Amino acid sequence: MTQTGVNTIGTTTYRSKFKAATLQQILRTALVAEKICEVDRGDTYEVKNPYGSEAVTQITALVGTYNVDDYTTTNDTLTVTDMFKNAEHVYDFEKVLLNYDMFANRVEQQAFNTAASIDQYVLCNLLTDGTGSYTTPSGGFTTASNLNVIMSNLISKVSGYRDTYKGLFLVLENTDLTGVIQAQATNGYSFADAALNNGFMSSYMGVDIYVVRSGTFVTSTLGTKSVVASGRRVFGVKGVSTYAAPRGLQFEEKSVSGKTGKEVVTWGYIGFKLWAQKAALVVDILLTA
Amino acid sequence: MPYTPIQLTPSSSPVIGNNTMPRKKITDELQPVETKVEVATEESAAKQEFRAFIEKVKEQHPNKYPQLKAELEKQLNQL
Repeated sequence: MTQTGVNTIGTTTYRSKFKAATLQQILRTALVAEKICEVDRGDTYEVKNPYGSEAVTQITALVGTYNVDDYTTTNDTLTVTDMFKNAEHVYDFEKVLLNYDMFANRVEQQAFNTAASIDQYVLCNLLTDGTGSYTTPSGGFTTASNLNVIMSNLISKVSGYRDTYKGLFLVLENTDLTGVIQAQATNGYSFADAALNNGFMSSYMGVDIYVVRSGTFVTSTLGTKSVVASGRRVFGVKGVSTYAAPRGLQFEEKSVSGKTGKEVVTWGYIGFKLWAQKAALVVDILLTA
Repeated sequence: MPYTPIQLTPSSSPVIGNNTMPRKKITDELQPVETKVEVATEESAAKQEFRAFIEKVKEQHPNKYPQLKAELEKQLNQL
């Protein structure tokens, strides 16, 4: 027999406290592309960046005459080719009966997911288009003793060009850090002290290190582009590639026949180009297990 | 009906070997013939898909493809 009485507490009579005014966000990855590429948000389908052939300086004795050379120009074009999109429907009862603003939450979530996908697209394309190449010693970045060897080899590949002063970057996946952190803590007195006191240092030998989650570098078809990035990492000079995101991310909400609430859609257009003359300044690092 | 038996005679005299002229070994004249047996097998869907992927990489990244070729073909053979 069920006991009922004034002292019986049913589950629905408990009071709950909500930690925050919004729903929890999913664990989010760092966005890297914007820090290492130029971004164009103009309303254009193409960005043209032609280049001419190299001029050749003639060195002779004092003769007073010279030869005239022909030169050529070549088109180099960034084309906006891909569209990233997220669409969901928030029913009215979901909006009304929940403690949180579901609508605002979904819009924000879609914006992040679209941005994260764009980030992966840009990184994988940057890596695949880079014509510099390097194969790590066995163990890759996870072996601490490899780090100085790898970094010095990578830096030497892009040194001597004036673009190098734009700054250097290295994008790793989180699983690579096991060797990197150990190397940081043991190399150089003041650097080791800084690393030991402050943890992972985001710069090493003048190279800014960016970390993305494992699974970012993939060999796959992303939109219209086929990329080969699995088992690879990317190093190079900042600002030598461009990605175009006309108008950035856009958003619409619309009423739909037959449904209460609103349909929410977020989208962005993307094009990427590692400019032909600078392709060697981006190094495709092949990890050796 | 009567018949005449045919006298079977050797077509040529047997060669008598001697020590000054080494006889040709039969293996010198007969070269092994390579036979290629092609079995009609249908490529798996995954392999076909990856082959198409390689073609796209080749088309989209012409400068990089030579660097990637060996690795992609290795991956294709593993499928």
